[in-house]
Amino acid sequence: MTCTVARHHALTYIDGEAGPDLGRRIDDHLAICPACAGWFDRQGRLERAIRDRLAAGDATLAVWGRILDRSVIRPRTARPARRLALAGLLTAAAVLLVALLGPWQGGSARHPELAHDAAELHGRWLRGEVRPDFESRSDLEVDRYLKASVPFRVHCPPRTDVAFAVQGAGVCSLEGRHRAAYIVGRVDREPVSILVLDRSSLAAFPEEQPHQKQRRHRREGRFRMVSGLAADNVVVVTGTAPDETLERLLDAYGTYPDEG
Amino acid sequence: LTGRSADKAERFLDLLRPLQRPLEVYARRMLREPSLVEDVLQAAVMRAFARFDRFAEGTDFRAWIFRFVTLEAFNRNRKRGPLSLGADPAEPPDESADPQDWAALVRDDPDGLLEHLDDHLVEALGQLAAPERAALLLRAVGEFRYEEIHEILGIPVGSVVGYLSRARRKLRRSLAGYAAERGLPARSLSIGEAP
Repeated sequence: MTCTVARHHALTYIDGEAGPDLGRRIDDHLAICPACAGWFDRQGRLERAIRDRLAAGDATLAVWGRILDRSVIRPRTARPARRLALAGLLTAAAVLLVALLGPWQGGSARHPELAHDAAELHGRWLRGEVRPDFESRSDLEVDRYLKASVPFRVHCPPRTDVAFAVQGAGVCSLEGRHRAAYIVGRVDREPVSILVLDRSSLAAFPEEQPHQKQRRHRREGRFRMVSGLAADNVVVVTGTAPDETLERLLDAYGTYPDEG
Repeated sequence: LTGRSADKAERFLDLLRPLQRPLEVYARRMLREPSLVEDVLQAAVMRAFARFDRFAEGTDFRAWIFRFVTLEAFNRNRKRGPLSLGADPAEPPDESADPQDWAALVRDDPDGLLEHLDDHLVEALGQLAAPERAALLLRAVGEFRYEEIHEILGIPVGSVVGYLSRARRKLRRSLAGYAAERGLPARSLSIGEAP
């Protein structure tokens, strides 16, 4: 085989589609032609780099949540139609209440996007629809995974000193734009998820800003959540555990020394 | 959902869940109008679920569901203007036709070079003919083999090879031109060089 013929089939070969006969002849040629071997290597590296760029991106939790809900595929989350009318009445009542009482930190009539996304993530994890990209019961391993995978500064998850038993972590996108990390685990046997964003993402969630110097307590459906700033991050802790338990986890986040 | 319907839904979701990320990335890259991603995925998932009874267990669900998203993306793109089908792929292009040298940057750091060109990569992708883009993305995002791409797109394997080859050549040429404008080593993106 000549260099020209070998290079003519380069991309087919790199794709692993050359077939046994052609593949063997190219292998034989590369074994005796260092120039072509180097050239094939460079082609392969560039092709992989382009492929990785094209394939980069995360699934958007909220998007898939809506898709599955609207498709009436997801058995346990399909909302009975008769509850919609009641929900409408309750919403109207809540709007009226908020109008009368003014802004109230603990109110649930507003539907903050970040809280909604955190609840969506937590619910999907509980239903088994989301599995952490990295599963481990070691907070140090999870810490290392996060630092290697998340494009912004993150800190070690809460540890056993606050009764948190980590189970894993992953990376996701919120509304297709904002990269976020999440940590899942249990505290006092209650499942908890911790959503972590870069502090700069705060600009995209205006409802969080007036409260950035304090802890914010909210409810989304049956989930409680506590959010606030911790170190370099915006952190939302979600679960069914009592508020003070969730707040304890939030307070612990970012307080451990870096492993380097 | 109860009984058989619930079982069907559970089975469908089991197969769909691991594919949500690649399907969304694929739809995002395929569409001329990125804001349609959710609509396209929604329509594709609903169509696929409606036909799930016809899906043969043991066959490739990945290729099957990607076909729905591909068809839906073609339809949506068509509504925004005629689709370019590109050149006849029957005759695969000569992959060694650009006799240029390779720059050290590709040798040493192709990722670093592409980092400069990330935005343009998406733009260049948008310039590809519809089947070229689909073939390239099915390979890159879906990691499908040529035979599977043939099944998804319903075109001969030889055409898959031709579309893929053209897509890669066009993409690199576009990136090379863009890089040259910015003083980066354009020749590093050449698809071939003389032995």
